[in-house]
Amino acid sequence: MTTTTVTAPAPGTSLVRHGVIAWLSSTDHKHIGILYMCTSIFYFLVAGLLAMTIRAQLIQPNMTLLGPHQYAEIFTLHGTAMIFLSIVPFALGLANFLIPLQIGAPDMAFPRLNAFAYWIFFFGGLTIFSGVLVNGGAAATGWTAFAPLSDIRISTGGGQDLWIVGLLMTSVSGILTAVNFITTTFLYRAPGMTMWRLPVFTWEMIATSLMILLAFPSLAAVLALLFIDRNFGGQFFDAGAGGNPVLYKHLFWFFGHHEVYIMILPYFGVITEIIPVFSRKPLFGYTGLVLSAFAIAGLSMGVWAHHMFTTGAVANLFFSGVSFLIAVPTGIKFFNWIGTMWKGSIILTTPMLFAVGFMLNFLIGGITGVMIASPPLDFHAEDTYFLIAHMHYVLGGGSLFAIFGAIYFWFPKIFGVQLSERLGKWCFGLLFIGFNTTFFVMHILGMMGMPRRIYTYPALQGWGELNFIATVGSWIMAAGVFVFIWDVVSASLARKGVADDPWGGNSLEWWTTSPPPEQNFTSLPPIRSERPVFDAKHPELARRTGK
Amino acid sequence: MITGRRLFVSSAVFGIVIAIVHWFSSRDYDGTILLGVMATALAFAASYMFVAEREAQLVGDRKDASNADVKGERLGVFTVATPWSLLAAFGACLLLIGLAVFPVLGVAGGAVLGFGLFQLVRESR
Repeated sequence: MTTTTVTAPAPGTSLVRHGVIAWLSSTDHKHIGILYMCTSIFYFLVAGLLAMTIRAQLIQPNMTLLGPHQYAEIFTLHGTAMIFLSIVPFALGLANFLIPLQIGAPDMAFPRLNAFAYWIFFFGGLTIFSGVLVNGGAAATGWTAFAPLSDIRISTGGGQDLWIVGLLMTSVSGILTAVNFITTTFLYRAPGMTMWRLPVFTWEMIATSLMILLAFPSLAAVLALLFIDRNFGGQFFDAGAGGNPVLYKHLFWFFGHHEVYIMILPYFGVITEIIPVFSRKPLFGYTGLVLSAFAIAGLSMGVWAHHMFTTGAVANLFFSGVSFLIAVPTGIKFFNWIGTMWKGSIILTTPMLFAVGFMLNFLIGGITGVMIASPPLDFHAEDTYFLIAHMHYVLGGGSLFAIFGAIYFWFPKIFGVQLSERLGKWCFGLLFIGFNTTFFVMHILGMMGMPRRIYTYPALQGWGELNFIATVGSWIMAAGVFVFIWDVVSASLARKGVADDPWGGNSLEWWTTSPPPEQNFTSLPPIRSERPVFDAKHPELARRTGK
Repeated sequence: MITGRRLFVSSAVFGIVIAIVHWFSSRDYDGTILLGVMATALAFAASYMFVAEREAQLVGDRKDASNADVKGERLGVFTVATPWSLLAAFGACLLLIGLAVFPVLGVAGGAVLGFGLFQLVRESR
């Protein structure tokens, strides 16, 4: 074991270790954060390739590129990789990197547990994908794996079992990481960093961690029960033997709907960090933004069954009402972001473009969410491409745009290298146009009645033109991702140095070097507000605003 | 810590309220039990926060605290490297894959997991 006692390291001390072994054995939160983010980007690229395959299959009627089972495997792996191995882990990685820096701590509270959580997530992802190597192929039941579709009598292959245990590992990883985040934030804050001076990203991660602690055990439980049903003769979800398949839906969606907010709240935090920096203004409504995060987390406890309106087994009125209510705190966030930008000196850098793109896309996803929170409309939209469009506007147009914004914003801090603004803007433009071309038409396809998860469709339905447009949009998005990869590779090879605070940031991570030293800080500024770095660099303005 | 306690207490109270509202609006056992268990878990965490708050005086909670207040204070010992986290995770993976497809692999995975956890515990003392 190698340990370091954190007292006051000599200025300029470099404790950074290199080499594969150092990365494999590291418990440094920054290394683990980078590992999480790189792994999640790898799975994002894999899931993106799978999505391209799906779009190629659907480009015109009666395509035979994929058979029905292959198609089901591919959309299952696409959804699983995007949700469980990409969007959530990227947030966990970013938070791993940022939380100790933002609160002025030397590391996470439980470094070994942190490393264990990362590696169990890593192996979980490999286990899920290893299903392609076994008899019967990978899981083919969608990311929800509803019983009885996932029952051993219907899904006979070992891939389904590997999917279950792989997902179980990622859920354990999430729980351990959430414990670490909450403990670190509560106990390891720097002098003066009271809870009401925490950066909003850290607050959003506290809310996210709370939701993970409440929701992931439900996922672990339902996966364990399904595994017992499949392998040890259990009958929890077997209606013929007295089990209840609706119980699966309850347990799964109790996790699953929290998961939607687990996937979006961290990125609300990302956007909230980016907007004030490039509006050159203090954040408008700090307290409102924090409280709205907890209002969303709280209300999300009572909305899981809006995914079950059509079962006829839940109280539609209750779940519809609570679902509508969630729009209120989300609207408060939008109001505060616009208030922050209002009369600001807005600089349209790449991170800011992605932040604005996030707002526009998420607004569409949010509005369609309110539509399908109404049972009469949901009955029509259930299991159609309208839902695909809604989900992708929230998670693709929302979370993924925020992920790109976060990468362009914090890349200089994480790696000490600045990405190209020119290529960044090309990346944004292609992704924004490609995304809306792909997914907007899916609303119309859904209203025309195109069901989701079908591997082909007859020409008579008249869905061919819109599917062709959607597929062309996916090619434009792929070009955007290619520009991003090119940007990262060329910037990494050029290795132009970057200032410690290239954007004029507000929170503590901008105080330290880029990249930060192993102990994170050699000094800390006085912390008297939620933007201590700005206060330290502009004391005259801090006095004027009463800080 | 006060803010943390309030956070958990208010979440627990909200959980209880929403469980009651859900029961009276639906008479649904499954959902009410889910919400009840969740509220209980939050209440448990909140009660721990009361205990922890009595024991902890955190410098991060003081609005006027500065670096001078903690000069020379040892923040603790932070591990910077250990191979056992990776090994334990690998063991857990083998154990679960073994349960799914090949029991012998599960036994080996259990042994690796046990050894990794033992080393982690030993190392942290």
